[in-house]
Amino acid sequence: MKRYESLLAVNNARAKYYPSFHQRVTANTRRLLKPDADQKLITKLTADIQFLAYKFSAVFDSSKSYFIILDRKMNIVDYNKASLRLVKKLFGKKMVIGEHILNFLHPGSAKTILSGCDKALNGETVSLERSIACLDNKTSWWSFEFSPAMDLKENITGLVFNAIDITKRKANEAKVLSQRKILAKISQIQSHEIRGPVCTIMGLMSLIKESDYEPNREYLLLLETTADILNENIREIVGLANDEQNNTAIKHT
Amino acid sequence: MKREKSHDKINILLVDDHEINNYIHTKVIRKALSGSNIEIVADLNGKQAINHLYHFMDNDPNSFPDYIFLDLNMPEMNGWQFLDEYTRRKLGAVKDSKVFITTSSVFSEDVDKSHSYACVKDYITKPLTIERVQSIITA
Repeated sequence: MKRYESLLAVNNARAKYYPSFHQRVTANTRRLLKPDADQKLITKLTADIQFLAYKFSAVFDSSKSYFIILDRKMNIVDYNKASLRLVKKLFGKKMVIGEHILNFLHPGSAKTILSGCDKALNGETVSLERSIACLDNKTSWWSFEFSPAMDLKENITGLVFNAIDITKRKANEAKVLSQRKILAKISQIQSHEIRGPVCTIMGLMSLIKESDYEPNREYLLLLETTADILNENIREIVGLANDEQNNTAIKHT
Repeated sequence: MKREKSHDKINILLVDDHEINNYIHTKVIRKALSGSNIEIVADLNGKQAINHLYHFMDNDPNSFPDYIFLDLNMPEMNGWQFLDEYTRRKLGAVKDSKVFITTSSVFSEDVDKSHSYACVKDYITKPLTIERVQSIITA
């Protein structure tokens, strides 16, 4: 019977994500707990539970997200396979059901984890993004979500800690940001280095227009000088843009 | 109140690091105000211009500029730094000079920033035209 009681506890924590599964398992397990349950019924319901557990695992363990279910004391109730592998890889520890979550995560993230857990246990869903330094000294970016886990009577029985690796997304965002900065820089340079000589040419043309398009030698020499400056500035900007693009490509490889 | 062109001398200071622009602006202003008594001086950066203003203040207050056409992007002391110095040293108290930003920049940030200086009367994107100069001086 103890085995089924334990199953009920885990089942309650999973209720948030799999309500239909939760209802069926709860109903069937409670029938098993009755003293007059016969062997035939036990066999049938055990098979039923095993089938449902298989379906549950297929969803829970095939997810690319990392799920850890905690009780109200922040002890581990359950986790999916992805979480087990991840904690082992990042922090070199194997998670154990019943132990406190902080025993298995990076000490530097304790404050964030505790704060998120507290809020979830008070009924609030918390989402945040953080960078984490791992065993190999590499930094990875993560999206964390702390959600309250409720039973059918909507009592908060614990919480679900969900983590998603967003390192690639963050790298892409940084790349886009870098490209925007390059564009802004080029735009700024163009305003002065390109538009400047163009404005000078326009100013000279306005003077030539004033003389009924009969320019004196001085205006034409200044036009020539300004056109040379413009040409040189364009070459420099194209060179700068190429250098920046190459630097960005190197940073992101 | 309109200025009596033929009687009052109009003192104008051009501040631009490109001599060609100072040349063009001098020509444009002289054409726009032909027949007026105009004195135009040109400096190549903000620092030169500040020194020039002090020179006027100490030696020839009557020549202190009525109008200042100020470029933004200049070496040594740019247009914004000039405006900061001009404000900090209270040079506007010598004569109520009208400052016009005259720049190739079309960035809205520059336009917005120029409005934060009380001495700046307007923001002109180059080229400076005869019509624009006439509208400024006769305003």
